[in-house]
Amino acid sequence: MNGPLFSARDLTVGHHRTVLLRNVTLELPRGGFLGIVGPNGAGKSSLLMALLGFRGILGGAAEVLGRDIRDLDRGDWAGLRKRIGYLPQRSQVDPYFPVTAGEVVLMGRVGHAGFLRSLDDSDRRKAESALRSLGMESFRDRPFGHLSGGEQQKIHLARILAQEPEMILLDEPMAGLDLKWQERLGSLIGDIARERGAGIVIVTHELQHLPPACDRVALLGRGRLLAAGGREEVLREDILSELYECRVRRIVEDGRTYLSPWIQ
Amino acid sequence: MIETALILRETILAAVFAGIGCSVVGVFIFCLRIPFVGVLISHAAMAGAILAQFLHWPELPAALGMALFSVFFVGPLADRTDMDVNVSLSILFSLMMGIAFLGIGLIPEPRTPMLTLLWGNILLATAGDVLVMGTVTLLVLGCLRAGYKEIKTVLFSRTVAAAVGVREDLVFYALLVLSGAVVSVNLNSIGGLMLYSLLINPAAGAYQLAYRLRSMILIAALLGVGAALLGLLCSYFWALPTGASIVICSSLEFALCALLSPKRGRFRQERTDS
Repeated sequence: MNGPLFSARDLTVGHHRTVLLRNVTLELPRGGFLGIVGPNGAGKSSLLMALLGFRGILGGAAEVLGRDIRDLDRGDWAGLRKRIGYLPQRSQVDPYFPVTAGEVVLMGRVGHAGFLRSLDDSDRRKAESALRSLGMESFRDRPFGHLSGGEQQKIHLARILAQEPEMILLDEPMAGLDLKWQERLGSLIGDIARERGAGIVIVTHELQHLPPACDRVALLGRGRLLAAGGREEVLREDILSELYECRVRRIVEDGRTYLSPWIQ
Repeated sequence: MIETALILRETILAAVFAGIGCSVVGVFIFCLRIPFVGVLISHAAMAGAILAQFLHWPELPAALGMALFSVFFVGPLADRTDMDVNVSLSILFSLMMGIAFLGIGLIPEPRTPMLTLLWGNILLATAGDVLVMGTVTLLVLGCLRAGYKEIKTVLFSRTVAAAVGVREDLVFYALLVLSGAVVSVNLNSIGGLMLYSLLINPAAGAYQLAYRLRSMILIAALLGVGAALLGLLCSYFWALPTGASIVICSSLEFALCALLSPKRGRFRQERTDS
């Protein structure tokens, strides 16, 4: 497949009849790294969920991995999602569920193994390799609930790598983590983008969470796409001030972008 | 003692199957974080059986039918009204209670068979009851073995399960159907009002002790069988109501598990922050 990993044209996303996101035109080229940024309630997560079939498409068109997603049935979606790695927001996972870190990573292989078929040695090797690549092999037999928030996120990233996806969707991966883990996960996601070649979409409401490797940015506000394009082209003070509805100052350091309110 | 055990053979077997079946589906319900579905299923099955008594229909299919009818409405009701699933469970629960008490009000005296559905009577379990309970328990264990990896992923997170390509909707509804089947076949022995504790207490107790799902299911099954047999013994030796004895034993088991849990207090210490 040579086309974009996903493309949306005038896409309107909703839940029942409530419109959450309107007329979005956006695409992710193969191997691209797109950051979707906006304040809370902008529709960022809704866009990811629409790309996964968790939210309805009320208008426009969208293709994911070459498939028109408007008319997919549940079986088609299950097949398509095997090719997409998704990290949901932390609130959607029970952190104390009785499972080991290694078992969580193996879950990335469950869809590939097929319904009612056992995971085989190849699945275990892929899970082990994903754990090793993130330096988490010593955590394999530890209860998932005993890991810190940052380590749990890292285990989820290993689950995604074990899945061998063509596209990775990360929904607020650094939210609620301390500064040290924000930094570690940011670097790790940048490494994955460089080394794996899978397209990555990261959703965040904090600009500094965008890893330097993220070369494309889309700004969403109030359920609309405000701007999209190259990082420097989009992350301008005038556009960001409009997005956050207050005058902001942009600070760029070591490839990261920080925002602070403008103080007279 | 052996003679007594032989006389109570069906009762003991019924207690074992009820303990295993209820606690295993209890783990599903507990891990899905919808404990109220246990209340709904048990009371829907009771309402179905009471209606069947009133209409002179066979009880088991009516109980199972009503249990399934109720669980299949939970999702769409929550979805269509944008309410939390526990709120839609509560609404359906009140409907089922209304139907059950309507049946109770309409059925002429004597009401003993109907009261059995409320409180249960494991001492009256027949060989036929044991056969049905055993078959459904084996069915649950068979499904668990066949679909363990899918079930584990769905119980961990329905979102993650869907994201890795599992038909989580099918697995979720299959778990609800299994729960409905277990509750329906145990209704006569344990009773609609008592079943809920045998569904939730062993699972909640096992959660205090287990670090893996497999262990949680095994411990829950042992706790379920333990509560059922211990309750039976208490009832036999002290002439106490059997269903109530089983429920109190399962509650005490939970208290003991919470007391002995290695997770309490140690939990924060064992969290890593490397």
